[in-house]
Amino acid sequence: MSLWVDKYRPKTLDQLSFHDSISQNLRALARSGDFPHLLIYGPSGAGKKTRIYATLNEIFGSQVEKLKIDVKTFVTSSNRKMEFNVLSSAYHLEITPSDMGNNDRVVISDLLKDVASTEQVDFSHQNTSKTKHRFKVVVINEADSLSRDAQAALRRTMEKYSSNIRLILVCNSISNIIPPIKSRTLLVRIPSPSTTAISSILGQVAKKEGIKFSSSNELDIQKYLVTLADTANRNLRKALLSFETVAMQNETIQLDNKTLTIVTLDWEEIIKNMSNTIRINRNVATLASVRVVLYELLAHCIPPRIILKTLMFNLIKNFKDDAVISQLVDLGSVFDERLSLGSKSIFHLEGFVAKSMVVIDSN
Amino acid sequence: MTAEQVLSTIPDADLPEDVEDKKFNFFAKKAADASTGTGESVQIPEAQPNCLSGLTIVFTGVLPRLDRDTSENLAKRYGAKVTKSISGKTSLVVIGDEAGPSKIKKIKSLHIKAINEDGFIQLLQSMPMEGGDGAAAQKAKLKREEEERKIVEEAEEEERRAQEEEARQKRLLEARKAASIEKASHSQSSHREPAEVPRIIPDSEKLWTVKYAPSRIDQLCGNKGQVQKLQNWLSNWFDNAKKDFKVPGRDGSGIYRACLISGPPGIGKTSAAHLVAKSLGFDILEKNASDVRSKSLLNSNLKSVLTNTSVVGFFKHRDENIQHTQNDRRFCLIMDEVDGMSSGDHGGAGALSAFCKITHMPMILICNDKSLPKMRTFDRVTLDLPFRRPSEAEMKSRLMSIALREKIKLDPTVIGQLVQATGNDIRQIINLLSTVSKTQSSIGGEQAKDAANSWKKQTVLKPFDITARLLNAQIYSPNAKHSLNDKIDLYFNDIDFAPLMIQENYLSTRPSDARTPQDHLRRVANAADDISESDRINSLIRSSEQQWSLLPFHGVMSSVKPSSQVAGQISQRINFAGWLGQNSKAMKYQRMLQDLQYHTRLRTSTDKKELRLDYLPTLRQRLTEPLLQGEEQGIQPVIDIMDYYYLTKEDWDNIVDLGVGRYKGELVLKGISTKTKSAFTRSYNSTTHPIAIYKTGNSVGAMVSSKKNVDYEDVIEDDTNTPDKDDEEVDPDKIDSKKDKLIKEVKPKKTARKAKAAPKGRKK
Ligand SMILES: Nc1ncnc2c1ncn2[C@@H]1O[C@H](COP(=O)(O)OP(=O)(O)O)[C@@H](O)[C@H]1O
Ligand SMILES: Nc1ncnc2c1ncn2[C@@H]1O[C@H](COP(=O)(O)OP(=O)(O)O)[C@@H](O)[C@H]1O
Repeated sequence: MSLWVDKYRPKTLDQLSFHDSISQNLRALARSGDFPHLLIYGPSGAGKKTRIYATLNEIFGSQVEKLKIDVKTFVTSSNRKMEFNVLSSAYHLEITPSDMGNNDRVVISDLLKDVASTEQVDFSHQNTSKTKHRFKVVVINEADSLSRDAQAALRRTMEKYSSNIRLILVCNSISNIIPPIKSRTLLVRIPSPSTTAISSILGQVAKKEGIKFSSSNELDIQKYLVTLADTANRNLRKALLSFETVAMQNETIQLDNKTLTIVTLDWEEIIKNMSNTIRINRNVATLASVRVVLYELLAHCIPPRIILKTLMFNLIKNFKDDAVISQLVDLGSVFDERLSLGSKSIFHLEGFVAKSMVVIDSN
Repeated sequence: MTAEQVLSTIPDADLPEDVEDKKFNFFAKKAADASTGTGESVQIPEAQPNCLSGLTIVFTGVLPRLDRDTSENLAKRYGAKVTKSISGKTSLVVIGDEAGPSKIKKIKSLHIKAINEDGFIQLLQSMPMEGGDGAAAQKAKLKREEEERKIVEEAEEEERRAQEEEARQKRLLEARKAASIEKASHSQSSHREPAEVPRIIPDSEKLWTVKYAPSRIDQLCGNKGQVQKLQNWLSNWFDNAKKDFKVPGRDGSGIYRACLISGPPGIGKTSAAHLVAKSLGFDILEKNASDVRSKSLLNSNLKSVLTNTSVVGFFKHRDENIQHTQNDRRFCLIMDEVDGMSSGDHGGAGALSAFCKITHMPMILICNDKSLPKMRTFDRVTLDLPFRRPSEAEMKSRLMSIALREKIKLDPTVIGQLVQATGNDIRQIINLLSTVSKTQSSIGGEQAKDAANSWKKQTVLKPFDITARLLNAQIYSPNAKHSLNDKIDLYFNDIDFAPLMIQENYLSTRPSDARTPQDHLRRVANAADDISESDRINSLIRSSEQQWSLLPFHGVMSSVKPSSQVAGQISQRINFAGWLGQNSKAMKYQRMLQDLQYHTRLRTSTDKKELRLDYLPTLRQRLTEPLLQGEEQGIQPVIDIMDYYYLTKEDWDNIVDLGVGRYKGELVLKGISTKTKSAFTRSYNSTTHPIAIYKTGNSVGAMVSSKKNVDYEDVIEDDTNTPDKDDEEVDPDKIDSKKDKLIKEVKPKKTARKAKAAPKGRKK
């Protein structure tokens, strides 16, 4: 039993539904026998990972779905032992640099060296049909969070081991990727799927799961699914997940009842309430109570920048006056920068709340 | 000139005719204050030493410019006696705004001289040294001289005793040495070393705080009442034990098996506990609670101790043949720094308080701050003995006698300044004296003030004091003679805590010149802005760039500037920096999330952030809804999902725990009936489940063998299936094989797959 997102995740390039031209290009690359380093970027829930795995599937066959997790131990320069997990199949491995903390440079270069040198052994062992690809693929998630050092090291490794390693870097935005890496990789942008693409995927899932709607009118259903895609910000994963939640909560989905059929996630709801309090009661006592809520959110792993962003959008929704909106957005960007440069998130979130109370007050 | 003469030159303050009980309006008052042009502070005059001697002064109401503490300290510093209530002995009343009506009535009926703040300052300026030559002043002087004489006597007495003690020790040592030598010579074996003789440290090498640690109960300064209470409680302990701690007794202490002494550091809490226990003939077991941080450690540590019998009691019993029924248990357990324990783990305090309910020996707990939330668990199980800082008067004689014995001349008035500088911390004062005595042989007169000032700098302020001072409006007033550097110094007292403490408490002040709530908010917002900016500076300092030269700037932005915005009256208790606790809580949840991601990674395609934001709400729904609605029918579907995502039961708990708001862990758990919950746990534990992560790589022997166990179990579980041949073959040579890597690549995959098959097979 699994969630729909995982249950209905396409496995091969043929099953992929949207962005057909990208799929075709990937297929062509996979078949060519040689394969460049890839830098795949785009918003989350756009289907990057799905596409990568479909491509790997095309190259190596279904063996790549046989995943396992290894715990690797590394000794850092300061002689501290460190463990981190590597997801791998016989043909590829997948790493996430944020798991490694500040040591990402050492870890990555060691790991790649390791892969490059052990790879021959592996292949002499496995005399299967697919040996025409004499390289192993290393997928690096969240490549934009790699430190500069690590990126520089990566660039050297890319050339040194190009005979037997191919890298696939995955990230949301390439602004943090250093140019030498960009120039050594094939950039593939995967934009968010359109709302219609999402709604048709949702529709197929609904059919397969036998979901009941209050009306059988295709158009109504279509319209509802489009709103669902919209509220999920065209994030396919989010859309699928919230669709499943709705389906679980309602035996029959009432198409005309928005409150029952649009999901607000636990944390979204809290931020929404917070923004209402800020709008109505602007004083120091409110600020003190907001602090408690902010701490609660931060403790429960809601990233501070997400809190800031969601809060700001919730706040500006309440205003028609462009002056207020622009000032609030201004504040949002200032504190967003501080969030990324500082280390104590609560300081900045509280600063934003306090400042925006004053802005609202003085307009 | 006498005090009466001086007082007659000072105009009477006008006493309000009849004062209604007005409701105090904060903002209205602020506005009024501001309009009458306060804010500028007074020049406190330099008065003659001891000039207020012999006067008994009462301060009442709010003085316009001096705050209560300053004015009272001022009066005390110059030798006046400050009392709280007006009586016939009161020589004058300094009256401010909003004085209580009853006080005013009393002043009128007793015909006591009442002056206002200006009058008080005038008084300071004009009083002669030693309070002039009025009768009261003379009497006070005599009394003081008498006191000093007594101190000298006491000190001499003590000195004598100390010398005797030392001599006795020496004799003892000598005797023992002689004995051991004799013994050595008696026994013919020539290579035997003389038995180890315990070294007795001569007094002169000891720290002063040790050397002058109170050795008798009456040497403890202050807190006499509490010490008495402690004594009563401890001496009646075994009688109370006989009554099973059911009878409260005269002072209500009979129902407690443990007591909790609380109070600031260096005021003799530990000393008191030891002295009282010793004087009642207890054997003392001392534990520093900070050492036993976790619950389990505490359990094992205390359990053994609590069933101990006292060695002293044991021997007494035999030697003296006295039938003490409980004598074999004359043990007293002292736990120091209870609030220091369990900073990482709340179980500790809870476990300790559980011990307090069942202990078979008296327990004395000692802590600094009883008001911390985690200390609340001790509330009803311990006898509460709050210790206060001993006042100047209470420690004067002790300090003087120390000074005498060390042959330093200590001017009694300096003590007042010392007491102020250290915040009534005797330990610190003694330490200071000891440091100073190395360079100076007399302290007093002219140097007193300098010395006190420089000592003030030497004493390290506690985070609470830093916060209290920074958030107090006074240091920002133009007359405060408190330069920016002084303020930055406050920050440097504790560069880690000061910013955190300011951030925690800056919302709870009433800024002195904010007239409207909007104004207040604006100030708070500015402060918040500064604090936020200071975090960036902090990052520059602490990051790899290590720009330590930015520290003063950080001090300004994180502490001084925000405090200057909101400084005023502190309207609540100063709280301890909450950030630390919140941060460690966040780290804990981050680790939980990390584990969840590792476990689910084989099935999902998302990172940590999105796992929490998007996946978990739905996953939680799938993992709890069946239990909420289907009760026990829901268990199997939930376990199926868990197995698919390689989630353990602990992960299940964590996923529920990660919810917020409407889906807060506790709320969700409340909805599931206890029966279902335990059935769920039972049926989860009764089957095996797939595991996602295996250790490989350069792992050491221990890991390999534990891994083998896992495999082995799986093979057994799986005996319905035909066992894999190659599986069996691989196993034996696995442990020491150098080809580790290859084998392992094959292995875990297989077990994972098989384990997954196992529960499915069982589920008919
Ligand atoms: N082409 C597609 N057709 C159907 N579903 C898809 C497609 N691409 C992605 N999905 C669904 O969207 C989810 C998120 O995709 P994923 O590749 O993980 O996004 P990203 O890596 O961009 O964050 C997947 O779990 C899958 O269920
Ligand atoms: N009330 C007191 N009377 C005399 N000396 C004291 C007193 N309080 C503290 N001291 C001195 O300070 C030292 C430390 O006291 P201690 O009992 O350890 O304080 P606490 O436990 O309150 O932190 C003692 O050894 C003693 O020299």
